[in-house]
Amino acid sequence: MTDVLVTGIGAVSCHGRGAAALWRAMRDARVRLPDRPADPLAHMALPLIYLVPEDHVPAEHPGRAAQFAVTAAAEALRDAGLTGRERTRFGVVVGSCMGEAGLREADRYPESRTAGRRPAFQLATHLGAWLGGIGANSSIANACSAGLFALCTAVDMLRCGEVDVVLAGGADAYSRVALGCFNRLGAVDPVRCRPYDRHRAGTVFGEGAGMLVLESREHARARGVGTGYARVTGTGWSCDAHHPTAPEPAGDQITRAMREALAEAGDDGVGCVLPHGTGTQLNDVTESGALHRALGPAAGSVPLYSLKALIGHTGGAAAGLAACAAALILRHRVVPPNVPLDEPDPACPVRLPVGAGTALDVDRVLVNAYGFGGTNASVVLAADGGGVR
Amino acid sequence: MSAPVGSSRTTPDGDVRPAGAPATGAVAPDVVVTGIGVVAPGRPGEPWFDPRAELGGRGYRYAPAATRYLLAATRRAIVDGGRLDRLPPERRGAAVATNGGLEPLFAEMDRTVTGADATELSPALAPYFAINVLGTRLVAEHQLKGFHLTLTSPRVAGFEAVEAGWRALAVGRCDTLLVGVTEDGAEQGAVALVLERAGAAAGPGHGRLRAATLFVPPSAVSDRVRLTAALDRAFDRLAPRPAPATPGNLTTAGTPATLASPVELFGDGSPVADAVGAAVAELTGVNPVPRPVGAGCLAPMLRTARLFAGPPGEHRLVVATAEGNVAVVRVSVAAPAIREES
Repeated sequence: MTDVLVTGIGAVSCHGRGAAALWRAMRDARVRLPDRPADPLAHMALPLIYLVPEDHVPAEHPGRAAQFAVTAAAEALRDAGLTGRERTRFGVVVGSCMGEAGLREADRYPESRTAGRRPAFQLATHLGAWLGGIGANSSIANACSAGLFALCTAVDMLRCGEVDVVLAGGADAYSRVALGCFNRLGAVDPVRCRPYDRHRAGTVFGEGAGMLVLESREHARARGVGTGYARVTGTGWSCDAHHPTAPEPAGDQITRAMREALAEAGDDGVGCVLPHGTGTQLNDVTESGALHRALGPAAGSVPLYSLKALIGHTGGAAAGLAACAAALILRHRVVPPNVPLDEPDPACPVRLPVGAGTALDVDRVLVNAYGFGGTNASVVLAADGGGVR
Repeated sequence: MSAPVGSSRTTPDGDVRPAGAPATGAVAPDVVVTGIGVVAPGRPGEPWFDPRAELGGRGYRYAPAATRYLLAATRRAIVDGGRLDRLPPERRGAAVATNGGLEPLFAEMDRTVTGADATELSPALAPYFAINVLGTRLVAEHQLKGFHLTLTSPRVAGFEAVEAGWRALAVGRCDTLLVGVTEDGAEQGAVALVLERAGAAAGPGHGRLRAATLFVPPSAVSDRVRLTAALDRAFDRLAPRPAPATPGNLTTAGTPATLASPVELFGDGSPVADAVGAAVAELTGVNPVPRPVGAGCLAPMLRTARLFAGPPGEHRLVVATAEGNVAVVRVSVAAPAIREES
């Protein structure tokens, strides 16, 4: 089977642009309260979202999500030592919950109209045009798990021999419709994004993008790259086939996705989990239970890193950013401290270390991503070359 | 009977891989289209969709139109012979495609938020802000628990779904696949296809369908050599059991690019579509028949369904858009006499 490496990462979040900025924020583990979008038409009780700072994205691309995606992609390519213009079979796979919804929303009103009608889901297309080469290109809209489905699709493309290198991940930006709908569903926490807290009251959206360069070991070696950040050693997909918003209560399908990813990876345990962990009551309880079923007794002691507490729920970008965070954890061999909770929820029996980093004692990280409609994916990333690039 | 959760994954060859065993490499699957369902307008002004008659009860009154079209098309595909229940729910996948399926709903919800308040939104429709939710009732109704992918590339998303589903079959993520395309607004209607592994299906069904997508940036259309080579590789992937991709190889006799079959081009008059059309003509030796592409991804899939309803033979479709999204497709229609046996 094709050995798939992560050889470059790029990140944009409310903490600014760059994987280094993300890692600094992870190490600092400070509580950050959400922002309010400058949108006078957003009539809703809780217009809360973690916004990417305005001065951290280039303005030359149409739409914020495209700006985030290109920024993260450019960083990932640089990090991998690529330009995107190599004469190789290149692919782009972008996951997004909302696409460029912000542009569509702006175009509906004269005061904010831009360049007229255009398809909402053009992030992959935009990245492809930005790269400028002929290649594979795919747009995946699997809600909040879109970024991980994009990553898995990239792995499958490599395994099927369709491409040599893939730029994969997710991006999402502020959408008035999405935030309004989350308000209507009573799913916005009025305080902050605080998964696994006893007093959590929903999630808080965030903006951002996480992009990764994936390639076969053979291809990486041929261009002189000995080791990557990580190997993608296991992937698993499932679907609840249950309800538009609520997870299937028993967690059978999210357990199955984890087990498939772990089995493919060799099932030797993991040193850290980046859970989906949104902050909604049911998600966190269901995922905690499923982790115990998938990992067994180790579930109570494996450190979890709750990324959404730091950057909010970035929708289709969430798992792209989580995969970048996992790559950084493997590189530094440490699980950063979690953003402190006010009161951990005893109904979620998981370990969330705070205060100081935890040494990564097993060189494998499990990343979970779940989306509305019960669309689930899990991935295992393993250190490559001892985690040292 | 369902397989125990997480106990195994079935390989593309049908072998059950025990938990912990290494995954196989990708194996090109041989799949046949066993059921086709179409819900689409007929003559202008004529009623064409009665949700109560199609879906029973209140006709999923609180679901968006695109969801109802998709549900109805899938039910028709099953009546047509597609079997989604031959295998456990965990082995059934869904690849759903849309471009603007929920655009009318998004516009309405935005008007509500901007003109009134989010509290005025329908709680039944609020989850549909995530476009993949339009397929949730479908996967619940047919217990498609393998996966549910939603593909959205401009105009080619239907064939992107065929390709993604085929890839999922190749790496063992499912054994039966539902491909659905649905649109509402500027294009309306849905197409559903049931694809089963040839060895597991009761017969050859309607035939075979393969698709390969690629991206041709508008800035690259003048590079005719690279464009032609890329299209040639895409055609190569349409073979039932393609050889491993070999970059740079040009067409050899007998590949899908040189089949003695018509070629239809769904283009939008853009430089990309024109360049792709010219390159396809050079590769295949056939001038493509121009077809109108719609606002979404439905029109080429409707044509595919119609081809499967026609006489046996080989057909090739090409979609090319101003944005740069391109698809090449091979439709191999089985002989009616054989089809009846299934």
